[in-house]
Amino acid sequence: MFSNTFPSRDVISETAAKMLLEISAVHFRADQPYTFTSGLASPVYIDCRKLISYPRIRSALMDFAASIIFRDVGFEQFDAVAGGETAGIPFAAWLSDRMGLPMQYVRKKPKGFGRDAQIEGALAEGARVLLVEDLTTDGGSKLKFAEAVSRTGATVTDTFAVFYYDIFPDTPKRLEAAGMRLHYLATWWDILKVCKSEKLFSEDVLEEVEKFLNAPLKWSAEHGGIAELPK
Amino acid sequence: MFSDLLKIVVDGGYAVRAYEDCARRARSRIPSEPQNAAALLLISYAAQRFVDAYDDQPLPVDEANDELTRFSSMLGTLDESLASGDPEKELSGLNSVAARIFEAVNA
Repeated sequence: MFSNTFPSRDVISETAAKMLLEISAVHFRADQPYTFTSGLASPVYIDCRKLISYPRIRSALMDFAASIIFRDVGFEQFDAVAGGETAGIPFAAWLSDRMGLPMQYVRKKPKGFGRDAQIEGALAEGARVLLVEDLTTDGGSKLKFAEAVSRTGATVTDTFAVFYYDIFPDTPKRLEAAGMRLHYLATWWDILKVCKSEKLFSEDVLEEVEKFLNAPLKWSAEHGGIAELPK
Repeated sequence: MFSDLLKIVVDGGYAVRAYEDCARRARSRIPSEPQNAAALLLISYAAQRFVDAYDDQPLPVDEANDELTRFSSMLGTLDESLASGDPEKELSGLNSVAARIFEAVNA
């Protein structure tokens, strides 16, 4: 269960950023950019799935997650924690344990045969659900998972991601419009801050990363990616 | 014949969501185009293979470009063979693309 400590938001974000850097989950590559699922070209990539192999780090992060959610939302505001397939599932398992709540997971699409299930686990009608994923970029996958949950009669009221890109100002509003509040531990800005203060990458690399973070669509268009997000 | 499917992928930055749309669109055309059903099913397989391979995975821009070249070539083969009106060429085109998808899946 949750250890009932409530570190400040700044300490959580800085510590989470340091942890992600410590396990080399952060990749910067301006000369050979990555293509995101949306088609956005990017010099940054983060692999939060690596966290599952580091028990001390993942345990601390899940304590941070519980403290942020309890502090920002309340202790009795959820009936279930649902993980989004695939990367959200382990984090949902650990977080549901911390929060003392039942867990489910949501498939990206229904099985297509048999029970045609998209939600696995028991979920009561009217349940208030915390949706968990490893990342939030533009929020698109969360909207799809939340729709699947709502078809069961339950409601996703909040969503948690270990890492939030924080490069598209519309993302929190887009989620709010769908009835979800967004919670997270760290963003690219926290990573950049730690990289600068600890001089972890060359100045050239960090300068390029900052250019992308400030104007992701412009950077993408200049590097072979999309110039606007798909509607 | 299949240029609109390629356009979906190109306009979407030849990334996962674009291939996902393309696979969905190819499948949706099958009931209304029974004469192209085999080709459309192969296109949906090829596009879905990309989604399965790269969803949640890092995709370098160069690799995305190489994948687009392969996908575009498959669509070109299907277009050309079906437009020929020659049943042997049609079958040969379908088999060639099926073999390329199999190779990609097992690469």
